[in-house]
Amino acid sequence: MAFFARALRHSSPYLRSRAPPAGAAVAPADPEAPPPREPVGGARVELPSNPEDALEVFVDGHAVRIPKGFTVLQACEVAGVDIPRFCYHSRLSIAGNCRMCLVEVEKSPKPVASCAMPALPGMKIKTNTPIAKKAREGVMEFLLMNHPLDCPICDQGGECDLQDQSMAFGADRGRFTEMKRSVVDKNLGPLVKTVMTRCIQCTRCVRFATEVAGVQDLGMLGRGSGEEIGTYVEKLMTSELSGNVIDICPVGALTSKPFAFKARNWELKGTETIDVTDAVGSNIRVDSRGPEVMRIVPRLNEDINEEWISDKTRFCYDGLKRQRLNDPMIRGTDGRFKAVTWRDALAVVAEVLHQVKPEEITGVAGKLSDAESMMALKDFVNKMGSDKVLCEGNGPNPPADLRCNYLMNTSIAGLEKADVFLLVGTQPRVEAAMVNARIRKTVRATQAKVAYIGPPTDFNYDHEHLGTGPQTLVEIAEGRHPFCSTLQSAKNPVIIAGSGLFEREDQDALFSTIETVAKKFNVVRPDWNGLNVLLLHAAQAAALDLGLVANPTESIKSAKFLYLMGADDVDLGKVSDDAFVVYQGHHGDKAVYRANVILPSSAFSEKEGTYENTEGCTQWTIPAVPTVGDARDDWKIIRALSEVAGAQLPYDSLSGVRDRISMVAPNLVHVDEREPCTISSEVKPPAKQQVSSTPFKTVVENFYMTDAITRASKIMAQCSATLLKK
Amino acid sequence: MLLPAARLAARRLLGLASSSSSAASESAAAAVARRLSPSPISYYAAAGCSSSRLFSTALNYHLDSPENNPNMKWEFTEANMKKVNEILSHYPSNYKQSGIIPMLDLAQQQHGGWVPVAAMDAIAKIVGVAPIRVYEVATFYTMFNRTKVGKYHLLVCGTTPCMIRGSREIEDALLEHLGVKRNEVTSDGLFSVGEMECMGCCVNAPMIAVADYSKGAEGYSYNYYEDLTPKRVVEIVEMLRRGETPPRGTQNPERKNCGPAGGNTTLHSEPKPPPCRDLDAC
Amino acid sequence: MAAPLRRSLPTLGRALLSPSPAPARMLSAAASDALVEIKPGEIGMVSGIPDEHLQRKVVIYSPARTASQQGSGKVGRWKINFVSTQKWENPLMGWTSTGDPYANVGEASLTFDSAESAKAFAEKHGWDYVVRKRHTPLLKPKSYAENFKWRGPPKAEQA
Repeated sequence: MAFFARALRHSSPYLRSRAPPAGAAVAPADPEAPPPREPVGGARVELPSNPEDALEVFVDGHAVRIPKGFTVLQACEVAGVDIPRFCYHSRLSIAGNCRMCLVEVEKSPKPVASCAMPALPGMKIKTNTPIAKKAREGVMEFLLMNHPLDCPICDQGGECDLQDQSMAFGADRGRFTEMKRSVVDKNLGPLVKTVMTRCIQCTRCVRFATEVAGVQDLGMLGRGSGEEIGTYVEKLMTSELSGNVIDICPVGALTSKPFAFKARNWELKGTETIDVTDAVGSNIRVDSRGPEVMRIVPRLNEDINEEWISDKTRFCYDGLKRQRLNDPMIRGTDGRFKAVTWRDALAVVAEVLHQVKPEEITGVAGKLSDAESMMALKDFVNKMGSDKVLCEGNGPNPPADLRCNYLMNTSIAGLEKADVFLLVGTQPRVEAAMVNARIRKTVRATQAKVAYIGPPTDFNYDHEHLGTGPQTLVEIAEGRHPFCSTLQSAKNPVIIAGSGLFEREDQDALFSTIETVAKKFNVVRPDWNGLNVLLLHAAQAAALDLGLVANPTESIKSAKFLYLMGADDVDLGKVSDDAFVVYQGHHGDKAVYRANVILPSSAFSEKEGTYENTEGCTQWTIPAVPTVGDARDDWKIIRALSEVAGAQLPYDSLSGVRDRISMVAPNLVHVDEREPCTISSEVKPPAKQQVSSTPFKTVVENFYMTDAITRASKIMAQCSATLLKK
Repeated sequence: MLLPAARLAARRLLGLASSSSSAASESAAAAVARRLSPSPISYYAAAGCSSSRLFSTALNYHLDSPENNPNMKWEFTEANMKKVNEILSHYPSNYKQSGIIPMLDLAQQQHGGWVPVAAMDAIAKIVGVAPIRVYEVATFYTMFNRTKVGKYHLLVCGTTPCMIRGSREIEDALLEHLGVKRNEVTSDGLFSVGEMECMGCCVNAPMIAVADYSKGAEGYSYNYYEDLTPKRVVEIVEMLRRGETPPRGTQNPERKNCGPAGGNTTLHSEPKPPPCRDLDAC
Repeated sequence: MAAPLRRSLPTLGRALLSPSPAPARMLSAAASDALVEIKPGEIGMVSGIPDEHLQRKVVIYSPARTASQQGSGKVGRWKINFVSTQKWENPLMGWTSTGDPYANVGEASLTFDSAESAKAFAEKHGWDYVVRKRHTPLLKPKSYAENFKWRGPPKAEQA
């Protein structure tokens, strides 16, 4: 029986069943001592190479080795003990104000706030003693004193840290007979709902807004028990990352406004997938109830999005339910669409396909296309005898020959090592909010310098605006610009060029100028590659890998048969009047107005697809909900069409398509791996163009509405109406 | 109508008042009852419900009004700008935000005893921080008034020693004489009454502090009036109204500073040096 | 409070029965000392699972820690996602119906200690599986004193 009790007491068997990693503390021979545990959440620790910079502490009797500078709380995490906390957040500065993390430290007269206390060599930390428990119970009682008992009507109910921890440390009754405090709710905009009475003043949101989002709007006002979180003057939270305060709030004070009272979190089924609204490929979890996407939340990926996602990623989901195409449709002679069967629609398309000349066939992949469908589209168009297949946003002559010419070679996490940034024609805040968050993190942590060439725009960190056009770039390349001295002295300089440059006439010259700058200031070295291109769309990198590189202007102009696969942002004015336009996509967006035939396809939340993000990391989406109506996966539609058209593609399963992809671009089948480019860009022939003096343009006009899904979203429309300064 | 907590608090207050002076107990009880009944604000104040014990003069959020809004133009006068530069010279130029508190104080003196939100914005601009960081400071410190106060802001000490010595009666006398509620400004804009915590004059309790904003930042004064009686405090208010300067410090003619009434009763001679060591030898 | 209890039982059982490696490994064909050799897919065949469900594609993954909650009790386990989206809203009652017997199996009722045991399970049933990488947090030193750190003298151009 004693054995049973012991087994219960040290119950983390799921973690324990894995063999301890080599080099970790081996379980002592004493059978009474508990075996070592895995760090909380599988956390990784980089022990310094110099053993003097590591120290040993004892957590509940376990010896753990940690690097110098860790806090007691982190040491406990390494030892596999999750310390309760409210104010501490691993990605924010330490506030030390909630006192929930109190632990007992041997020879310390009082319990110690473990989040703020540095771990010292030989410290004996006890996390489950009566003193620690009593201290936490006391803190919990104070926290619950002014916290309303409205869990049944609170959206955080069921995923609330206060609720969870009051299960462990809360009393079943209160000793306070006074009135509970009540606080006026604040209006933070269309995304974040506030119920400030529930706030426990952990200040996580204040620190998030100040440190990560870079909008200093939130603050802690007043004092004592009258203290409250607010903006003092009426102000909306105008950050592209504001949705994250919903996640970090440990109580229900900040909750999602669009999700309010829609579902309980235990009804939701989580599907771990990725986001496609920008080229970052943030890792997300799509929470669905039945056939409906209820919300999108971030999941941890240290290399890409850490724990944050942008508001566009988080709140675009209502676009998945609106303006969807659910039946194949053919435009009749009266100009109206008529729903038909797949058989009829494909037959019509195939018939037209055979009437046009092969070189008049053009296929355009949209910005949300996955690699499988682009592969199928390319194979199909090629098989029909045309090579005019392209992906929107890649410009007339994309640098598709070498992967390093269109990828973020430093990697997103690698940006943290940089000390000077030169942004050329890119506004990362709206183009890739998560990359911008990394740059901001770096600037905050190391005072890295940021210089920017492009039209005036918003930054949430200190930057130097060098100029608006390529002239400034040329000056830097020729060493005439004052910024050269900064670049010269930089240890790890980074140049980020926007993919908006692809659309320019002089892009070859521009990129060769950028390479000159890179060469001059030692940006590309064997140990450091600081030459980056920041892509805009989820499909872009894979499209370039697969070689969808036809010139859009002439391909579209000359097309008599235009196959738009989710491409809504092509210039439809250029399409000739007698062209036959097939639109295959999931939303009734811009291109539908010109389409002759509509083939409904599934959105990213409904299909398995491969996407490559801007740093070259291949990731998969996993279907979370069923497709709408009669829609099908993109590649399947093209496969079916190829059969009807008599040019059958040689694959009929997802693995077949992926095998085909692996022949063209093997990196696209290595999921969750970032494949860096190994060939340097020096083999490129010199450009013969001249740099024009046209200033760079803003590429993303409206952060909240960039693609078919976000344009259909009501929440995104509200955001653009209220949050964008005009 | 009264909630149990409030009733309990009222009983406690009654007990306190009667223990301090049995003669005044009746009036004190009446005062308590009056304070409990009329408005919810004062009811909470008496009941000790701390969220409403706003010692400062405003809520923790800003409401736009014609005389207090962020679009108002506000800047330091030329003379005060010199002072601002003097304040800033105390701190390294990358730590200018250390000067927020003295600058808020200066702004308050310049603006007749209170800091409008436009002044906070102006200070944020000078020290180069986000306005919210200044709002945080201004809302934290209760001596920064964020709504209008009188030219003479009378602050009655409400801490235990003064309360035992009758600060409630002092406040009642003031409120009754001026015909206002706490934190309200008289119609002529001259006076307002507020409460504050211990100012360290417990030996001369009860006391009030008078912040004189009638002469701007140059003639600003902040004086204590101690050993008050309800009669004397009204006299002081009247003297202030006439523009006179009442003698500051203790109002008991028999006392000198904080010495005992009627002169010293002990320590008549020079104090002897400590016997333990010979100071001259050092 | 039921969770720790339930989670502790396998350990107990394992400790009592044998000190040998995880039970999943005993079933795998690789174990040379196993008395009965089970070939991939055989368990699925003999347990009466319809043929069309023996050729499923599944995703083996370890649910990531979400940003919204601290609790780590559910982190570190492995799950099987049956990629089941055959669902529709019942037009009469508005309830969700499904045509997939595995729709509610993966998330709710299958939990594995390790990727290996999940793989072994999928192999036994003859499912085509993909194992997704598990993302774990990286701990970095941080200190409370950072908030009050002296950030150096003013820059030269300001002085």
